[in-house]
Amino acid sequence: MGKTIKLISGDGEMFEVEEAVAFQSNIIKSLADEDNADDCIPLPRVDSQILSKVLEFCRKHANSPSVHTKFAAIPSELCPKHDGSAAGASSSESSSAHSETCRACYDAVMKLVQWDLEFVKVDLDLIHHLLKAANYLDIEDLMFMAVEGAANAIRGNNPEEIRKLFDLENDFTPEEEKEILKEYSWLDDPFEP
Amino acid sequence: MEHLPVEIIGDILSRLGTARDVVGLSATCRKWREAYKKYLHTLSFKFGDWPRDITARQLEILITQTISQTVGLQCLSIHMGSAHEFAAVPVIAWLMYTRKTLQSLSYNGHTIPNVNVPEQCSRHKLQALDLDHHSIIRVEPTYLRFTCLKSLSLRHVIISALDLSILFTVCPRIESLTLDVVEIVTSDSQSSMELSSPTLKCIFAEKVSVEKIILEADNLESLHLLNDSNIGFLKLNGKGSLQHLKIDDIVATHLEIGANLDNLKVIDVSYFMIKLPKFYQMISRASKLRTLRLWAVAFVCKDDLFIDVESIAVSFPELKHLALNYDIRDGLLYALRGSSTLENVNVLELGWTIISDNFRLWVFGMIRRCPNLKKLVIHGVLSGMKTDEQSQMVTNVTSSVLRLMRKYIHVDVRFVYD
Repeated sequence: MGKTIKLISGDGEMFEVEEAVAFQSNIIKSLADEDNADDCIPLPRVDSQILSKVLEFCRKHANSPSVHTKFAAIPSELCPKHDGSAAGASSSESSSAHSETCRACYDAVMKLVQWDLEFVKVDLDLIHHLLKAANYLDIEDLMFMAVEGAANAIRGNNPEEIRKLFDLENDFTPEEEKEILKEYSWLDDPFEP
Repeated sequence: MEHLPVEIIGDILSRLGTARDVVGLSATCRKWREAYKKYLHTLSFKFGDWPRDITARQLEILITQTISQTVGLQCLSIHMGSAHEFAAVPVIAWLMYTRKTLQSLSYNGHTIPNVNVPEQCSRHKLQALDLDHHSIIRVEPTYLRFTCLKSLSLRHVIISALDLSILFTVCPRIESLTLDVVEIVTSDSQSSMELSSPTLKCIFAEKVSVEKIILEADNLESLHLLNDSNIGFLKLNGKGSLQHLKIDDIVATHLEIGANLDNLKVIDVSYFMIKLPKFYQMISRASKLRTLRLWAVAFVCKDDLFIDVESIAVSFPELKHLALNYDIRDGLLYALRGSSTLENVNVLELGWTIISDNFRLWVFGMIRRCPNLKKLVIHGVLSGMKTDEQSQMVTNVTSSVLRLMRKYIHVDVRFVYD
């Protein structure tokens, strides 16, 4: 096991993880750089249940390149089956050409995407917490997937249902509401499939 | 959700995909409405999202209202197909409204009168343009310049060879070109399509007919010509950057891909008629080839046999994946001549279109030439079979191969019969 980072959740539980896992979070990365290697990094706004879920995601993504924010490409250098040709290996566009020709990379990327989609097939409450954690800890891939999970979960719901789900208040004035409904009067039954 | 930054709500709404969902949910509360108005970056209007009896005029109003409420839209997609015809004025309005921020535009629909989309849309920010509608595209080079455009996709359009060439010169960063059912109009003064781009990396052409194509593309990595395309003459002038060549079901009398094939890793040719010696001479220079697929290729000259295993082994020492589908009824000995082995081949795919007993022998011979084989796939076509004799032969071949493969327990064997 390489260098490890110690994290303390909001409810006082300690998690020790490898650097590669923890450094998926840009916040943790920048805090670790400043601090002494032996100190623990406190994360008061993330409780242990959510942190362990977040770390599960980070562990899966630790040695993969960012597959979501770029074009699902693996640079040739990381491909175990290729000798890593030098020509433009780092640009995402030529990497996607690499992924097309390299079956192993393509399969690995697809598997990871599938895993991620399953990971966010959870109840909205958990997605809400993951969104907040990903935002607070600045974890790009987790944010991307949590947004995807949230979008999948709310698709097909109407505003009233969304308000109930997220405990939101309808803070429009009656006039504003009338205006909105007038604009979209063609949505008589907006959610009729 | 109340503690989430409004930008994230904007992200979530953008990910929903359809304008209908986005607009509906923006009525949830003030924050969500703000997210829609200020932080929505992706909006998509698809034909299937709206009630069937909605008219084109109603759709125009709807789309205009929705787009004009947003600020900073980056990706816009309007896919109506042939179901509705929009008037030119609203379409131009949508394009002009989003001009400053739009990075990706995908427009599939008819407009009456025709709107020349390239002229109207964002030129300095646009990175991806996907047009699909029966229209004629004209390019005025004097003021048109797409400084950021990386990906261009034209489907069901009519464009002159000259205009397509000019389009390339005004896209200094273009990397990917897709042409799908594109009619390229040539004239006496411009009978060939000449595309020149130092940045172009991939070309994907399907159902395209043009007499002559000359490509000056020093960085081209991937060339795919597919599906009923009719290209008389194709010449690629490159600097050896080509990595992936795929030709499927096209008619091309003359094909030149350049002298330097040092980077060519994949050659995938199927349902193609070739002049064998010339074709072989061309591809044999690809000494670093990893994947070779010659599937149902027909030979112009009756006497031409096929590329035999000895030639393959000698020309392509790094080959990992080999897929061959020949009519092996004659020339079995020639197909298996020599003794060089394909040391690096891990995956072997062999196919027949007309079954014969020689096929079985060919499979045995090929397996012996691949000492490091890990996977064998046998492909066959069952749908053309007319006689019991043929069906019996398929059974014989299948059981023979299975019996043989018991000796090679480390090889994974599959049969794919259509």
